[in-house]
Amino acid sequence: MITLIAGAIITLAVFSYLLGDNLLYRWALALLVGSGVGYALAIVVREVLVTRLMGTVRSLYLVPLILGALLLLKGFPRFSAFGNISMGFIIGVGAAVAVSGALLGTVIPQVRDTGAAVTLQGGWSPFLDGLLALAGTILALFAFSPRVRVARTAEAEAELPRPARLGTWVQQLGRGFITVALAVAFGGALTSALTLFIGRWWAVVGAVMEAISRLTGS
Amino acid sequence: MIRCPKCNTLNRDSSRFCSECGAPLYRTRIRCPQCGTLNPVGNIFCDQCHTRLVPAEETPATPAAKLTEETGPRVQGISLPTRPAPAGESGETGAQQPMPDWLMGFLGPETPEPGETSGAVPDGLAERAEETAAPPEEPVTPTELPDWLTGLAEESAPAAVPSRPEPEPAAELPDWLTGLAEESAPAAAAPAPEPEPAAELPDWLAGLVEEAASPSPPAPPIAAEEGIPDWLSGIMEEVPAAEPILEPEPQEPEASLEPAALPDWLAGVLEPEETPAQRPGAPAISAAPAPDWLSAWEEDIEEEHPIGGREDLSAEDTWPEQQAPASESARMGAGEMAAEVPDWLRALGPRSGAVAVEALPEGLEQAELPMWLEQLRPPGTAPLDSSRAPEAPPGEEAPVEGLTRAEIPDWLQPYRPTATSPATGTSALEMAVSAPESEGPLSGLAGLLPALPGVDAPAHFAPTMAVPLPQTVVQEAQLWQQLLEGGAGAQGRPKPRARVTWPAVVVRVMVALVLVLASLLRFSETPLAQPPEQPNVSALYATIEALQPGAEVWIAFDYTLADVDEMDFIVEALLEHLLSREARIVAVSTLPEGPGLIADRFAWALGRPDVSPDSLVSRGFVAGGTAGVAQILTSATADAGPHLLVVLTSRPEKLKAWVEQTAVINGARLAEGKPALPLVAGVSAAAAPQLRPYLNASAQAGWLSGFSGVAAYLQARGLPPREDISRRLDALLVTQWLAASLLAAGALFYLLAGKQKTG
Repeated sequence: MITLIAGAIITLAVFSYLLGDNLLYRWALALLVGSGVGYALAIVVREVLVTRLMGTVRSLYLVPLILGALLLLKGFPRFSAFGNISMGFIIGVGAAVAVSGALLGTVIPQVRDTGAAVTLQGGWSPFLDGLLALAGTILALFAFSPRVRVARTAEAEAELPRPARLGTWVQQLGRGFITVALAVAFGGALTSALTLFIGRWWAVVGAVMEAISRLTGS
Repeated sequence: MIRCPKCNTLNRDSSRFCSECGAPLYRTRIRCPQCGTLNPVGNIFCDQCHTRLVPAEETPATPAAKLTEETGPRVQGISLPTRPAPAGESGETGAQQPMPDWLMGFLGPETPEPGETSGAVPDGLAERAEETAAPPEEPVTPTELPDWLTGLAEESAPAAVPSRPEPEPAAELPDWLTGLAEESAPAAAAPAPEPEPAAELPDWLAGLVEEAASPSPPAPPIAAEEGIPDWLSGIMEEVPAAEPILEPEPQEPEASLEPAALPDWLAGVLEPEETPAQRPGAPAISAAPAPDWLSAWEEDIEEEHPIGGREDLSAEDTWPEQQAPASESARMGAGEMAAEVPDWLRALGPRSGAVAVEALPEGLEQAELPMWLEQLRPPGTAPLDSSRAPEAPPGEEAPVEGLTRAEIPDWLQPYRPTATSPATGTSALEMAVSAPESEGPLSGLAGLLPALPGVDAPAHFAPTMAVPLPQTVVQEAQLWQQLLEGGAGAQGRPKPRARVTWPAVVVRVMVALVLVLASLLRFSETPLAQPPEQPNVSALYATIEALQPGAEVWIAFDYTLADVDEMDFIVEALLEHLLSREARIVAVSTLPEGPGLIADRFAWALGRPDVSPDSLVSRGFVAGGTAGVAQILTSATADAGPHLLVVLTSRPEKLKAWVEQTAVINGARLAEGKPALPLVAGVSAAAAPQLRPYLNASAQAGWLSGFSGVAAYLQARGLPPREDISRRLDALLVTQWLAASLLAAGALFYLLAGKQKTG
């Protein structure tokens, strides 16, 4: 009951931003950020430090313990150079993992599936779908090509040679694909936001109804 | 003098604009270290606060030239950019000094206007200028004079015949030019003019004439004839010695005590009311003894010019004629010229005497012609060769050269920066730590404070662009300036709070109320929204349905607390199905919020009757981001490995990391002959459009997103629609339509309003 009412109050405080920036909104925002950071810190201490280092000390964790201690020295300018060892280790390992994963999990599968989509094995509909995806990918890449000369006015376009005009048209098509993609992303974000909006108002209404039922005893 | 950088015209020191072309003139001045006032070059004290600009410390005991050779030419800090030194200039003392003020007085009070450059020239020379306007057609040689000089010589040849009764042309000639004429005239052959009554002479002239009447009339110590250009030498050679030439230097050096004639460094010391003429304690001009250097000079002249000696000057009244240059006095009658002292000479008073003493040797030695005479020089003639100028004064031991030193009276000596420190008594050579000044009024002094150069631009100076800039360049420069000013100012200022206008607030609140009502009201008992058919949802259902009882399923809770309202429905739908398949759930998260979300969902699952706590295992939070994902998958697949990986996230980058690392693990597993690890996902509606390519390419096992995906999944399982999910779907459908309508209306209003505004 208390959590429902507290959640409803904080939700109303956030919605008070409709009237402009005010104290209630800032209070709710500070409460959300502060509680989130505090909760994350507590989780890290409990899940990482206490569980893996203090609970059962293993020799395997001495190396990350030392590296973590060196990382703390980054806060002191005089000894910050010692923290570079830990930073180098973190960045190096992260880059190695990310590069291999991006190559095997993103680039190769994307290229393979984009090419595989343009086949007639599944009929005309999958073929056109794959062809559209392939054309959109290529045109979107052209949209970011700096070598393509863009004529922003009709007069400027008329002065361009014919191959350059073709580049302009290709770039405009690529921008059209990008616009559609951004519109789809905006639609998804709007849908998700409305979902949360509905859930919040339902929670507020549920809290109010619960309070009324508790007060009335019914 | 300031030389115009544009047309090379010499202008007066006080000029701010060129008299010839009107270009602005820049002058280098000495900035006072105390008050910052720009003082003229040569000031010892600041005009404003009387701070000493030049320290009165040591001066070198050794000759300046020697020290200059050892230390190289020293940068004085006082440079005259508009008066560049000519090529080959040796930097001798005074070689770069501008024309002194007393000499400027001879040029007339007004700066000559363009086209009237000879306006300040005395009348006599003005005629010469007109006659010599044409440049010589042949190069000047030492033995052959150019035409214009020949004409000048012819003009001056019948000097014995008085062609003009008026004496003023000769009187306006500067004395240094007089010295030139006297240098060229054979003094021995020149008969002395008839003496004139001395009654009309002023007192100061009387004293001078008394000196001139002494037995040894000093000839000018002009030993630097080689420093005079050829064309000027020609003038002197052609001048006939028709009249006796007496040098003006017999005037007492005390006559130079007039402030205008003093060196610049002494100008600040001597206040106008403290001139020697008004000073009671100052010695009388006529009574002051001649300095040693002058005595030596007189002796030399006496030997060279016995006829022109002092004994030949019988009376004071002969002095005016003796002062006149030969070229001028030759054109006038001796008696007319000496009849009376002209008014202009009375007005000049002792100043002319100062000129004779101070500037004559300087001008000749350094061969620096005044502007008006410089302009008379034909273009084809060579400029003054200053390299042939005499060496720098060696110091106090060389009184002949140290004219500047000798002309200082005794009562002024304490004010002069001395070469010996009064405190210690040590010589300047011992104390000198820096090279002495090699030029200017402070020549020979060492240990000077470095002068701060300052460019004194004329007031209201607005430079004009020779080439007009394009408008685009100007606009770009203005934009950069605005950006720089705004950026620099915005860094330290707090960000201003957005102003909220009540119409905007009303519109905002109205839109929110409409959406709130649309989300809460139930418009129909039957669901408005029907879940669409989604092949990815069907694949997901088939993948989970294919799990064997007891299969190990790893679930990644990688969504944040802000997405709980949406993600909880997805988690419940998938977790319920997995538990119904008796799967063993292992939960893990790479976000700190994950353990709390896991605990909350596990609590919900444990509330079901057929769920055992042993089937739910939480691995909690794993740090490291992408590396943590790789670590989880590596440890999970070390043994038999999970049968399914479920990723629940609202953040695209998290799903990308899971998909990529799963591809890496699957590559290794396939290489080992193990089956690939299938991956399914439940994502929020906001992340679905970005993740769709990844999910279609890598998660062939199926995925779902948002409320619609949950409803479709429940429908695929054959379950009846849940009441809360149906209502939320209805509310989502209505609010989406409302939101789309409001967006369209807003866009239409923006277009119309924008068209009206532009129209």
